[in-house]
Amino acid sequence: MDSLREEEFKQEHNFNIANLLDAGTWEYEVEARSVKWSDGFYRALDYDPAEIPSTPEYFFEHLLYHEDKPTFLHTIYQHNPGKTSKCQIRLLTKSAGYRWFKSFSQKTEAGDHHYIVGAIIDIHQYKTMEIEQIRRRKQNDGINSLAKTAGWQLNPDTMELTLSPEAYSIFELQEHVPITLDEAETFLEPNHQTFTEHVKETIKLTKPFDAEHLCRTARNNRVWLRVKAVPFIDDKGQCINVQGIFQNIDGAKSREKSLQRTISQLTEQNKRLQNFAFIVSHNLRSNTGNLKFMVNLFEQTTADNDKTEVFNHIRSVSESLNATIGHLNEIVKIQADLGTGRRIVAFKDMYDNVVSAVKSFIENTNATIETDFTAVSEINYIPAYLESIFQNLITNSLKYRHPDRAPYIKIYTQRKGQHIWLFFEDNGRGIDMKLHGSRIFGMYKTFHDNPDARGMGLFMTRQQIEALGGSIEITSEVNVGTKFSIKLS
Amino acid sequence: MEIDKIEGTVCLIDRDPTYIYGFKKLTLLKKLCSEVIDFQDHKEALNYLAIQKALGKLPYVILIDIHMLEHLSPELHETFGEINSRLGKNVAIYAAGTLMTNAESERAKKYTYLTGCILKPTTEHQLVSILGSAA
Repeated sequence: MDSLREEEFKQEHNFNIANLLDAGTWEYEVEARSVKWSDGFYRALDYDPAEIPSTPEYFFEHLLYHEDKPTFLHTIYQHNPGKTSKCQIRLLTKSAGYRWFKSFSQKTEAGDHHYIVGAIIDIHQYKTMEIEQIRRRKQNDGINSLAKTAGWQLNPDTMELTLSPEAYSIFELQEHVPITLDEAETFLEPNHQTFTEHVKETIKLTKPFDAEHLCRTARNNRVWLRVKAVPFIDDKGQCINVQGIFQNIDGAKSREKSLQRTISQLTEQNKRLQNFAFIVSHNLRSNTGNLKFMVNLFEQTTADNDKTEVFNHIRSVSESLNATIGHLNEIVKIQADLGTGRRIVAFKDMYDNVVSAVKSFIENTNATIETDFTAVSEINYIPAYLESIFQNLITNSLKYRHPDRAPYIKIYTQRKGQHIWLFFEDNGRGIDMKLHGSRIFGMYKTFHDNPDARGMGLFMTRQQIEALGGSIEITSEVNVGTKFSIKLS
Repeated sequence: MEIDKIEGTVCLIDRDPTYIYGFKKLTLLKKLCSEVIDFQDHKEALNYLAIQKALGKLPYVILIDIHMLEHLSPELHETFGEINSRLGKNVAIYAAGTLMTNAESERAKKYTYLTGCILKPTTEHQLVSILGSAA
């Protein structure tokens, strides 16, 4: 036999062996463009050899799934002699539609003839399982990202922490590098009970935990996390694994916080309304009671002198009643004023206005007023309210000046964070905070037996400040002075 | 008859001038007591009561506005407490309020020296029962 015949024989022989093994093999002769399929090849596709023509055209046009054509061609024409190329393709079977096969191919030469030989193995079952697995993982990923949940696991022996990909995205970590328990701890803001403590307790007492932690991500964002874990125990009751989740609850948490803020605002408002209702009934009742009292007395007195006297009292009660109604009106007006809108007001202008209005009071009391509005020079506010704040607090300081010294008032602004503050400091008589502290801003509260006091000023000032979302605080010391700190906005 | 006069003294601690005027006028008109001493300032009231206590000539009824009562200095509370505990003779001390809400009555209970609470302005009927029973 010459070498060519020997090679051909060898090829034939190999092919027969393949047939014997029932393997799905094929052989393609490049120059002749002819293909040979083993019996196993037909069987793999569920055809009889006579049923389909064994031509390359038929294979490419009818058997190979069109999408897999480029992959297949790419693999078989890859030139790496002596090496097997592999790919996964779908072939049309006679009765079961397209099925997944793994294809092996290799180039060989025999003299002038070039051959490509190959084999196919049915991998349909594994492939579909794999696809199903991927689909499920994607579905889980989708659900987890919807629930903003990430999984983690901890081995109690090695204390090795394993995080799911979602955990990395929750912590805003770029690379999926393994992190230790201590490193995970650094993402959580200090808490009364740390993450590590929780985990250790879970391992020791084999008890699940569920906690809320404020966490700071790699990009320095603050996120509220819910951390839950369950221990897995062996038959001796020892914890062999801790599995848990991190859940991003930032949205819920911030809603909870804003809800709490709203509730406390409402509570505060409700308290004010109740207080207001009490004051209203108290004042009306006191005035109407007195009126009835005087009218009764008027009927019972006979002497003209007495009648005149009683009638004078009736007149004064009637005036007082009228004033009370006026005060109520002022309070009710606050709500109406809120709609009239704010505008930019310069503190200096407002101060000058008020000072010119109370000029004689300032001169008579020999008062000095110092101002500094450089820190914040203007504010978007309801002008009438700012005027009322200046007027009430300046006259307040003048009314309750110290008998032994000329009044000195210092007024200045400050910016603290996003808030604008206005301060009034004086060297007046001061108020005993222990005795009156809680009632200073109440209606009709006067503390110095001053005949000028009508107990409406501070009450109205506070109502106006709070209606615009601010707050007013007082610190005072008897015989030293008083300081009002007002958060305007 | 000096003693009798003191027996007939009522002490009023209040800031409402109309009420004080009416109270005086009505008690005088109806001859419910012989004298009404009024104080708009609790410090003055304290001074007066301290002196009267030393003299052994205390008013037999004291009416104090509930809001003023709640803002009394500890000394005056002490004085009131002493008036009622030390003397064999009963001095009736009433808190008077325009509303006397439940909360107010509840708060008044902690002042154990109080005989009771009454509504302002006091009616003639009420005055008779208070001043009459104390006399």
